[in-house]
Amino acid sequence: MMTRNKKKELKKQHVQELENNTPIVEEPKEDKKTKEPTWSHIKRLSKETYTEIVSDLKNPVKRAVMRRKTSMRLVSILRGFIFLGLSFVIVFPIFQEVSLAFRHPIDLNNKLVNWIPETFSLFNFDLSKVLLDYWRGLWCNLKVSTISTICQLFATSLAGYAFSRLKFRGSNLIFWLIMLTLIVPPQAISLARTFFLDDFDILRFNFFGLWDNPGLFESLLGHGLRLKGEGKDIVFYITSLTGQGIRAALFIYLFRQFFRGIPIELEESAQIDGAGVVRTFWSVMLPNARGVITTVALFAFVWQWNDTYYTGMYQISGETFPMLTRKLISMSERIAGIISQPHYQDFLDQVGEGIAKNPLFVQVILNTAALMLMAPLIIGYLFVQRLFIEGVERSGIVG
Amino acid sequence: MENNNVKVKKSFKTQLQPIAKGFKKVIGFIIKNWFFVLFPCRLFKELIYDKMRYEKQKLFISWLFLAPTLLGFILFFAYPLVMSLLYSFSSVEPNGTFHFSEFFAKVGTQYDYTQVISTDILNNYKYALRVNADFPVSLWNTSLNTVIDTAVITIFSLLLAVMLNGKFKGRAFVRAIFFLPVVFNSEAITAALAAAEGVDAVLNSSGSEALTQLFDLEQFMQGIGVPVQLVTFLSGITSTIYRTISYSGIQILIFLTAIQSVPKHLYEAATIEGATGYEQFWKITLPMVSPMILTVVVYTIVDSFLRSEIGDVMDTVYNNNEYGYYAAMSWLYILASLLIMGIIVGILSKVVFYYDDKK
Repeated sequence: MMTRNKKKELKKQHVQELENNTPIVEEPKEDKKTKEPTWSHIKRLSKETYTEIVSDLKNPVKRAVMRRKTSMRLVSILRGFIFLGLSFVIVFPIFQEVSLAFRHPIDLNNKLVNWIPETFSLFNFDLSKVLLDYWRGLWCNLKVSTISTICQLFATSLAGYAFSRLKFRGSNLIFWLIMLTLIVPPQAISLARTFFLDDFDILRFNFFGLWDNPGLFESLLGHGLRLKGEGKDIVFYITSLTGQGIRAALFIYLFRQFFRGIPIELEESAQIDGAGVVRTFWSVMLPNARGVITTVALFAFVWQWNDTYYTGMYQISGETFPMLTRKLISMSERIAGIISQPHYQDFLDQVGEGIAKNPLFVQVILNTAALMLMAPLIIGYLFVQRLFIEGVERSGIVG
Repeated sequence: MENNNVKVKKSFKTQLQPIAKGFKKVIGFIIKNWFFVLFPCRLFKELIYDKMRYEKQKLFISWLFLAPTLLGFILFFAYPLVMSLLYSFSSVEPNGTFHFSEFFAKVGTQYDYTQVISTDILNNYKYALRVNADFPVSLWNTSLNTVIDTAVITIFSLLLAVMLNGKFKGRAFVRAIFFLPVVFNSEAITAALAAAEGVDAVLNSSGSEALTQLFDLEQFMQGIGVPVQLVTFLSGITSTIYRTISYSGIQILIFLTAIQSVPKHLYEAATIEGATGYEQFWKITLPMVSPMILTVVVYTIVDSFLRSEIGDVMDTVYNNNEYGYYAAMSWLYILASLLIMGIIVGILSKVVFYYDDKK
């Protein structure tokens, strides 16, 4: 650093000297010989720099510095290229989807249309809005994702704190048992879980007919609770609240690693100041954990939003409670039925009857619907993005 | 449009009503019975909790914090897991009752639950591995793909994390773009697009086919004399680059935070001694990050198993109400993933370096 600064200073001095010198040389010869003195000046300058470079090359220290500089520059250029390429790979499909979405179906087989649509229309959006049952579906998705994200945050942050700071004998064993929920695939337990949720009850045993216990709800209400089926979104909240939401174990892991990284002196000083355990957690630890909380909230929300597996398994989506992801999956079969309704007669006259059988058309409608599904997430991401990345930078999730 | 808006408002209200009702009920209950709800808590706090020593308070709060997670673990994980193990050794009726180690004759599409054919305890496993044509093949493919995917994604995300960690202009922007696939990557979209054919058709109609024909790197490399297997491997990686990026968001995140938590004084010392960036990566970054490699590998194996074709095979069995077979398949699936995990983690854990900075 020192050498570089010195060199810079030297260069600055040099330039200043030159600037001070040149006007004195140039001013008297303003009228006629304008080119020659500047030419000689350039010559002189180039010679000076040449000798400087040669002397630099002979100096091993300067050579090493130059080598490092060039290698750093090369690396940064290479990095720029890689980032540019990969960003292109990421962003290109999005642009393509947007371009396709605004294209009127007339343009589909038009070879001239490549990026900018010739007939600009919102027809695709209108059709997929109807097919997705968009506004109601959006509301359902928002409700489910938001509430279950809050539940996940509650359960996982508490568990993460307990595993990192409130250790007792055997708490590591419990931690690894809970990590098992991440490793065991959901397919393995989904079957028994659906049977269980179909007739939910606590403390019900039937151990090969030897020990038969009817269960809490059955003895109270006369029947088990049905937590599965159309509109029963409460099952997501229950599972999230009990730390069994979508990949909750990963979130517990992240919280644990973060809380482990916070210096223990902070906790001790809070204790000396008279704060209890809960108080320490609430007013000392949680405000520091803003970064992790943002990260976890983002992932929990996005995974819940994009989830098809659990919504399919619990059969929550239906006419009264449309979830966008399930609607999107069943969409390609419903396009032909919707298009043949009288409402779209004008459109069919314009484009031709066979449009519903055109795979390109189906593709475009699906693309548009996918874009509409993603749109709230993208908008949300633009707002949260800065906080999220800042959080990644500061949190030091790994302890 | 106006009609639509009116509908929206109505549906909003109808959606809100049950929540509001439930909220009112809970609040009303607390207001009416606050004494009975809060008094025991208060009593407990003043008589027992406040008289505990700090260590005991910690223990109590620890169990309190863990209670919901443990409850969920037992109810929604341990119990179903044990049940599915039982199911895998028995035949299961569509309503959930199961017959341990008894298998029945099939009449048409329904099972006749009076005719016992076999009492072989491993019947379901034998079906999954011998009778079902798709399952063994897809299990093998999945395992193979998982190993390849894990290697590619781990290395790729480590390199990207190292690059993203450096200081350069527009870093925030590049990071924002690189985590975009985490948001974007949706099973629903892939499933929907797979349902409709012709992703290529769209691409071809927009003229990118000509471009690929113009510059066919694969043929060029084969012409040069690069081994065919290597070429197919490389082209396989490059063609799945979007997939790789979109599945390595979390891994990049984990590595990035790991790199940032490496003590800075190590790098300073290395720079003073004259180590280059390349040497610093191999001698400092990689060993310091190596515990996280283990985490990333485990996560990637789980994740790529989840997305694999084997899910589809199992779904068809599930939709046919063959729950016994389904349970057996899912246990084979768990065993396969645990086996791969065990081998890879076993190898890696010998190389992992733990730097103990905490005194």
